[in-house]
Amino acid sequence: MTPDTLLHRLAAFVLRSGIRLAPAEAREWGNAMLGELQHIEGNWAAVAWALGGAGVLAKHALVALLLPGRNRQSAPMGNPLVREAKMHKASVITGGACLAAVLLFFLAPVFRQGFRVSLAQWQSVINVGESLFYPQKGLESLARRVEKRHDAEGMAFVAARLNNRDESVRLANEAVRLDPKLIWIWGVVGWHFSGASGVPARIKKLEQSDPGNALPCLILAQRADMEHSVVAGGGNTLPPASPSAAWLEAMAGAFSSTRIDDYTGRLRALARTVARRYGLNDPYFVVEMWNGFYLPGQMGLDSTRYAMLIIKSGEALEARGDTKGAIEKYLQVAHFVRMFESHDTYQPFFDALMPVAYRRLAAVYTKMGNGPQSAYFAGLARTAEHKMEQHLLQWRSEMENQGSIFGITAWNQWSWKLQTLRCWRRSACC
Amino acid sequence: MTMKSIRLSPQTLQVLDRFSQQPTRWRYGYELSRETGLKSGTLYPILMRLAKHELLETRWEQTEEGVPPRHTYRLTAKGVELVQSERVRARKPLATHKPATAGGRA
Repeated sequence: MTPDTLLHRLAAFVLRSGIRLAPAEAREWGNAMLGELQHIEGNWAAVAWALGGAGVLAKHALVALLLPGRNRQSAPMGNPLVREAKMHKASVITGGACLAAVLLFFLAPVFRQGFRVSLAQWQSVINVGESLFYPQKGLESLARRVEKRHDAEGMAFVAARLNNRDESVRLANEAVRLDPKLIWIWGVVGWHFSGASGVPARIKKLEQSDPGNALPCLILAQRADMEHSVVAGGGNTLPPASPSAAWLEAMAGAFSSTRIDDYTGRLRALARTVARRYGLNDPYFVVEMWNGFYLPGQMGLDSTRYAMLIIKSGEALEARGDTKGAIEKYLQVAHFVRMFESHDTYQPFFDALMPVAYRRLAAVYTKMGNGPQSAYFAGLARTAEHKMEQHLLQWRSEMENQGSIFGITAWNQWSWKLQTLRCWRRSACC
Repeated sequence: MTMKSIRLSPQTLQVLDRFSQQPTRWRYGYELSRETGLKSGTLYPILMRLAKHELLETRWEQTEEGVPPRHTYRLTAKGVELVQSERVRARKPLATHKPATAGGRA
């Protein structure tokens, strides 16, 4: 008899549990497997034996549960192998029925939505075909429907999502023509396609209808950058060495703005309305494509460049003894950066800028002999530096733990790539 | 259904082959598992089916004091007849013997 080890006892427990669950006619066989267990020497071999046996008993328990009236003892006499063939057929039928049941799930819109969402995290790993976000073919067909109905909101909805620049701009213009309250859609289409013709004139109109918002100015600055950018080696575009007058004017406007509204709230409300109106089941028609980033791509770079120009001019004023003028310059930078404090998505772009402005202010007040003001700004600088460190740590941690911005873990990526490699090797071999 | 239409799984053939080598000998489940290389989850459903169709007879055997009795098996006359008819039909051994490598004692 084998030693009474923990794993042997566990194996016996598993089998006894199986025997308890099993129907009467299968219990004898469960006891038979239990009797053999005492003669298996290896611990893991005993566990494997018990698991296999428990699986057999569980299968009998399940059959007895699903077919309670079935008389297991009255199997037809004759060749058992005939019965085996029948069982095989039954397995195929059951498997087919299960598959059909699974496919039926796809008839439910909620299931299809959930399934598509579950695929999204693999998008950056598989990286094949059309993006899951904003399926363009579906949008083109939706564009035809909204135009037929002269639906301004529908046009704005499609314009914000189409990749086709000309079509997007045309639909946005038509939407604003039908409903002037939708003028904000120019802000969305404008930053997406800031190089399109007619953008400056429309953004100027938007600026007039939404005074104090920095977004139109940032779009115009990006446009000016694009017009004067320099193509460097490797096809990369760099901002011009000396800023253009149009860019300076636009950035001055942005830095004297009182707020920043990227129209995310309006976009979400529009998506809800249009999705309900047209019964849109595809989640990627309405989901936010840009992960909540609805400002011109050059915004961070432009703002930093312009802020450094202001700080330099403040330093020049300081050198000339105009401390009041210098303070105004530094405060202008601090004020601009503070506009983004409530926007977690954009705040990290200015992490490095804020401490610089506050440190300059603290230094000026020290020079002026104003200790309390100096200490106040020095404290703000420390807080800003701490925040910057926190963002940096968070970013590093995300990069270490995640394979992509969509949240694929490194393990999942690795396993997927391994599977792909195996499939590829198999197809190469055969 | 004729014998030609019967589907014989390789595992069932292996088990029948082991029994047919010494038809009168009583065998233990674990012993069969080692000799055929079949896991308990595969072997016992086969034994259960063969027993249900009276191709296999079973009995309990008390080996040691304080140790649960063991279930033992051997082919019935009907079982021997089936194996022989299958051999004639195939004109070759029912299955290739595959010794198991697991440790333990039967």
